[in-house]
Amino acid sequence: MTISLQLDNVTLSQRLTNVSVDVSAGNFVHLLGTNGAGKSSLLSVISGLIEPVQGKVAINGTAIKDFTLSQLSQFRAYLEQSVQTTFSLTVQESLAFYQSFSILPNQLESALEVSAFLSRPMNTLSGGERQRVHIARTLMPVWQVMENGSGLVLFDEPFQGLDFKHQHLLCGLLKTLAHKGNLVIVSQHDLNLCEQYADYVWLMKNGKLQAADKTVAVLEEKKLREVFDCRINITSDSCGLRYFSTSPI
Amino acid sequence: MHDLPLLFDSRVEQQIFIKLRVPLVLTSLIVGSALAVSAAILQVLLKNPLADPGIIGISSGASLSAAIFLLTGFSVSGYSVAYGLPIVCFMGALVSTYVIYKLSKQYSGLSGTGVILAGIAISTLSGAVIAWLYFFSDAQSLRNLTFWLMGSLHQADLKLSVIGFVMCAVALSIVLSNGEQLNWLYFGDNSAQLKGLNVTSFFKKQLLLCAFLVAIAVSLAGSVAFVGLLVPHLLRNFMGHDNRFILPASALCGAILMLLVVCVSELFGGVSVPVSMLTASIGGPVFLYSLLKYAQK
Repeated sequence: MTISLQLDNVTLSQRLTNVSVDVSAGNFVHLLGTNGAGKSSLLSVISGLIEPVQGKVAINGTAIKDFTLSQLSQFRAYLEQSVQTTFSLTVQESLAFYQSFSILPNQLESALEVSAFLSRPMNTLSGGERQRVHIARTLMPVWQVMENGSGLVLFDEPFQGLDFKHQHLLCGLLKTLAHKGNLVIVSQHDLNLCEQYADYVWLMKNGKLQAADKTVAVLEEKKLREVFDCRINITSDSCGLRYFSTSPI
Repeated sequence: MHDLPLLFDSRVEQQIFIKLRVPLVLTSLIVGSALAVSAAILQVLLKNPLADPGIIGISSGASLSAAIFLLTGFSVSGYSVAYGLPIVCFMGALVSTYVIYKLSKQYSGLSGTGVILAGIAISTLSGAVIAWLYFFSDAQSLRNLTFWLMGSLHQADLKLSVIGFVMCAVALSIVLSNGEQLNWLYFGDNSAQLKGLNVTSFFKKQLLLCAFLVAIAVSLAGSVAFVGLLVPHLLRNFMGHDNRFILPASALCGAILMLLVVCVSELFGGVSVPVSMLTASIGGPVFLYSLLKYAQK
């Protein structure tokens, strides 16, 4: 079973206003917007962690509140923006506590390269290394479902702290997962990553969805300028891939 | 009734064993395992490696009710002290937990920080009331309370210690099966909820079970310091953080620590040494060693 998502007039007090959008399985969606636009709130609502005060979130037509917590945990991988612990757990422990098998799948290890520091305590890792562990910790429990293309991936700013190489390795992994049939939604701030990997882009400002369409239709100068309130320069290379930059403000 | 010739030389020895040694050992096992396991759970539940039943106020309610009982003249006979005091303490611990729970829910929707702050408030308030009671009490009552507040493993008789042991065993058998769910809480409530755990209901259930365990321990032996903080903390340094192993190991090591305290107190002859004095004397240096070892890693 693949996952499609329907949002109908989703409202969350002071954070989201009448967000309506549908997206089908097998897509890699990038959620862009200014700070405080409501990206994290929207992902929380879709994950089922927060209930909207108004409107409906549905998965394959069934309201998300009709799923039990256990049912949702079988197919949904949600990475929070900030995860911390006051205990000095090792990486091995952090991964082992959240799934029943102990071997890191090859595809995950290739993209995240965490096995080199399995025995180290989490609090001795750099921010980027910690982020890679959290991504592995989030995906491992539902990896079997992801392999079958029946999963829902919701990542809130997964690229924060990651170096250039790992940003692209992770994007490649998520794109592969999406093309296996999973629905992948990530919030992030890099327009160039978005251009290179996203199938769809959702553009948000002040709790409202300003645009939700194919990447090429949303990443255009006027729409971006309206949301980010700054000049956006777009250049293209010989392959037609566009590059985004801004002049000093 | 027949004597037990293989074990005892005289009937007096048999009576000493049954009426003094068995309650002493049972009380030690209960106090050590209950305090260590409840602290191990509270530390994860409240995301605070320093949490223990004393710090978050569960035992302060018991102390306050003991103070009222001992200093206001309710304890007119030895019988009322033997059976009334444990019951009053048990109720006091549960009532203080309920107040902490309600305050925390009002303040923060039942978060770890809310429970800790409410616990500190209740502890401080209980301490203030106890201080006022001290101020207006006679010398004998003061001595009784001071001794109770420092803990004693010799208070319970056979009947009480067996009842306490059975209650403690039932509560432990429930909490020891929750290690896996506690592991999910290391990275916050959301991580556990995303794994499918109903965090609010789990939090309430664990808090109640911890209060129940602490209430049993405090009602039998008074206020015993440091065991809860020391045992799980040491175990995590040496065994890792998997609560499926930490909880049973805490029960075992807590019980062993209290038996060790009993052995040390035997060195003082017939004098009943306050337990907190011994647990702090043994636990303090061990805790310090553990911290220094951890700092060197």
